[in-house]
Amino acid sequence: MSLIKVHEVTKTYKGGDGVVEALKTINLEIAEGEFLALMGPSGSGKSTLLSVLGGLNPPTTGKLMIDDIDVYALAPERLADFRHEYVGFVFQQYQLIPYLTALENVLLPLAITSRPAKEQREMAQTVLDKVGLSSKSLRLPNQLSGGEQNRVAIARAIVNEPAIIFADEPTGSLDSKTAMELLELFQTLNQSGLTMIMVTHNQENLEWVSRAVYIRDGTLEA
Amino acid sequence: MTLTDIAIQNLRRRKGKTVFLLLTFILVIGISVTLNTLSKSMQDDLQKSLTQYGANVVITPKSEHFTLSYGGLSVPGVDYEINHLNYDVLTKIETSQDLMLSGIAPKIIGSAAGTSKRYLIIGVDFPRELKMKPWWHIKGLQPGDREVIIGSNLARQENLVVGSTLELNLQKYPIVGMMQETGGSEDNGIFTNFATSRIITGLDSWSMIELNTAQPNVTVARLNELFPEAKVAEISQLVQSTKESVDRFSSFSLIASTLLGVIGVLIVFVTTMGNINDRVAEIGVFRAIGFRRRHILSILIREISLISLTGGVLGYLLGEITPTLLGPIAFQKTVSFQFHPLVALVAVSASVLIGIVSLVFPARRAVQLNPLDALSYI
Amino acid sequence: MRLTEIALQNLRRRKMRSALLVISVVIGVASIIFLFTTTKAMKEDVANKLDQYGSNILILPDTGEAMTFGGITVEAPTQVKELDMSLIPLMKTIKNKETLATIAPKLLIDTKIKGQSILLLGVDFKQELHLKKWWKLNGLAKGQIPSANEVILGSEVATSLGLNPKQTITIKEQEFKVAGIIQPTGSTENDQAIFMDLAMLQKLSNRPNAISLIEAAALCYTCPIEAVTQQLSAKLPGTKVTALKSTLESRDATVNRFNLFARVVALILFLASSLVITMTMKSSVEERTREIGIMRAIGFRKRHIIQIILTEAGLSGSLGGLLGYLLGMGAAMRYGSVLVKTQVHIPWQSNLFVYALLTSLLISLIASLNPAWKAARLDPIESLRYM
Repeated sequence: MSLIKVHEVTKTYKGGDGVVEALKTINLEIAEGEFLALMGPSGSGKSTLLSVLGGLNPPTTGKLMIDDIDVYALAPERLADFRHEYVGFVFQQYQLIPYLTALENVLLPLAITSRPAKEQREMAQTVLDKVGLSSKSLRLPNQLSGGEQNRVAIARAIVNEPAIIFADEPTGSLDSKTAMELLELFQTLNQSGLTMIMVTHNQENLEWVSRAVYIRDGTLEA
Repeated sequence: MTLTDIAIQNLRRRKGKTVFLLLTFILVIGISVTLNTLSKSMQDDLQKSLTQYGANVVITPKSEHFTLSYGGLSVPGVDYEINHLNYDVLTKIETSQDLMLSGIAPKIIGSAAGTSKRYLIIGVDFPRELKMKPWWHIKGLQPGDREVIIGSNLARQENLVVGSTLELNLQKYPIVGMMQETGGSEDNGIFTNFATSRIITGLDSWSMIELNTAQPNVTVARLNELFPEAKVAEISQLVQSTKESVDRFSSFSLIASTLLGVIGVLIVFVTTMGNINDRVAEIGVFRAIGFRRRHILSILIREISLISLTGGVLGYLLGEITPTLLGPIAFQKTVSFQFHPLVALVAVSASVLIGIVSLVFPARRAVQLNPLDALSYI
Repeated sequence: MRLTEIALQNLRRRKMRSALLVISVVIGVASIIFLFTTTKAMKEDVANKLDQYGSNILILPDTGEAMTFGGITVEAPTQVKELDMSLIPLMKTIKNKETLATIAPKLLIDTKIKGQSILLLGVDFKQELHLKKWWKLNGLAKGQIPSANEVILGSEVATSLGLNPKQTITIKEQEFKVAGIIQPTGSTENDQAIFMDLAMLQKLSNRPNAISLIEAAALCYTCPIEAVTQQLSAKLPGTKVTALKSTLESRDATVNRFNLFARVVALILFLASSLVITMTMKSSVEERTREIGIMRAIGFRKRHIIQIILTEAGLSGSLGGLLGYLLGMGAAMRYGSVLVKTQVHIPWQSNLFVYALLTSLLISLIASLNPAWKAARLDPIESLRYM
């Protein structure tokens, strides 16, 4: 039984010089509990596919079904709720809110739940612990290193216990030791039942994942 | 953590932006309140100084006959009967408490023979007269007993200067001063004090009493009761022109303040729009995490409400303090600090309202964006 | 690529940011220009209105004045020199003729009605009503001008003769209709006289072209009253031209306050606009600290960065100044007069352009200089961390 079904998805952008076809007819199924790597050279459309999968970027044509929900048929506010419930997204640029501390950034997804403040705090502390940042929880993003910011972004993605984690080049700007630690963390999360989907162009990362798909010029390679 | 916490952390940690927004609100509200206070106080000042300008009520004796003169000219060859007011009229006016008079100027008006022609003699109390008629400028001294001053036209026609003497009813009177041209009947008169004018004209009663009052119509009604034998009239030219001036000033200041207010609102709009524009990417993050539009709008509205409320209160205080500092410099008048609850309420609620309205438009546009577009927004 | 191009590209690509920057300058400049020109027009308009409120110039024969003061006449001269109608066209030949807003000639004749001597004032009704705006007339609608066989009565005359509007009165053996009665004005000159058509009175009294005196209202906003009286004295032989100091000084009191208020408003607005422009420029530079860090990191000198920022500030400042001037001036010309209900025309004032442009340019440059310097001096690594 597949958790994610991508059916005939295309994505085109209107650029300065005509129409750019970022995704050309993508069909893909991802089962629950998979650790999937989306591989491909830069400009191949892997980040676009990830954002489509994460409910952030409506496809031009085609359908995305997650847990039997037609994601892009949802009304905008329902789509927001869907992201809140199902999706944890780790951006390439981390996208932390600059005026919130590490802890507060992690607390963000909980701010729109009705959980009591104390419970929120405990949940956030737990995930910060999990990513090994509990000692720096009161720092602002610009007081953290790139790897630390990355881990805050991951903590923020998992704090609300989503079904799927999407990560865009999570090891891209990290040294090999930190990258290793991060992938270990991902593996632990995956083993606890989370479905992980990661965009990467690094072949070395493949030993950690359960499956890899290759994308080139907007089409999946067999 | 709640949405309010997010709003507060933003305001706290991005001090520069917060202060910038706050200053805009303080400035706009402060200016509006300042102008309002200043214009009100200037309007009062104008009203007061114009009301004190000239006599706006006159008491003259009742006469059986009509005047036959106009603008200092008269129909020739007519004899004029001369009527007078008793001395006790003045005493009665001075002892009546409820007349609200700011100036009382009785006069003795008569004529006297000179060497070749007759002269117009006006007996006045100079200190009182000059207060009411700031357009009287006297070169030389004010007349004492047995001294006179002369009008400019008379001086020119008769070649008289300060220091000459004038013969009136066979007595010699030294000229101690000269009144500069006023364009009115003063130019042909000879002025002296009451005692001397009584001696020269032989009159022993008032010819007329000019009054200045803050409320002419009330005073006239009251004086008519007091002196049924006299004619009491409000000088409508003066009263109406004062009203006209004050009305015009108030509409002028209203228009200027309104314009400034409109500009202030525009400034707030642009500033708020700029602030939201800088935060589109951040709004994208919130959207990506699964915040509803409503959540984001409510964070932004909380922020702007806090800022506009604080800005409104501080702006109001600034607006009340500035005139007290500006008053003495701008128009030599101290404006005392006063707390006007209504003005305060209007200022603060206007501030909040403008803040929220100016936020809602750009914020709605920003939350409508696709999260991915918002994230890569420059 | 040169530094100017970098500045231009930044302005072009960040359309929203640049637009806001320019808009804040435009609002500042346009509002000052608009307010400045309209308040000036309004001031002039008010001054003109006040000048036309009653007369401020009196033209009398040079001899034979009555001994009268404050409405009380003590003695009348035995004979009075008369003026004639030819003076009026002469008045319109003076250098500042456009300042003469109202010219109200008058003829004084006495007559006996029901045994009482009453002053007949021959006037040009249109000019007279224009001059005496404080008259409240019973029986005459606003803006209505009485005809030649109608008269206006002073309140005391009407009471004494027992006349009401629309009734008839016989003056010098001719019947006139009472067009209106002036409500008490407090001045005997108005309350105790009968106002009638000048030509009619000249005919009735058999003194064609004769007038006794002329009252005039001069607009002395642009030209001092002394100049007007001197010019009139020079043109009108056998007359004495005097300016009424009392009305002039009270008008000055009002106009001075207008001036003061307008100046305070302009000053406040100037300070506020400078502050807004300063704040916008400052925040727009601060936002780019990160970008400046990148430039520093790839080897730009401080001088280069300051140059880029000042070019941008200068460009948006001048563009804002230009647009603001056009907008403010255009709006003032198009809507200013209507908005403040003046009849004064607001002309295109091109000298303001220079001030607008220079000031906005200067403020923009000064405002961005300090943050530019601060940003350029930052350690590149520091500024890269800036968010």
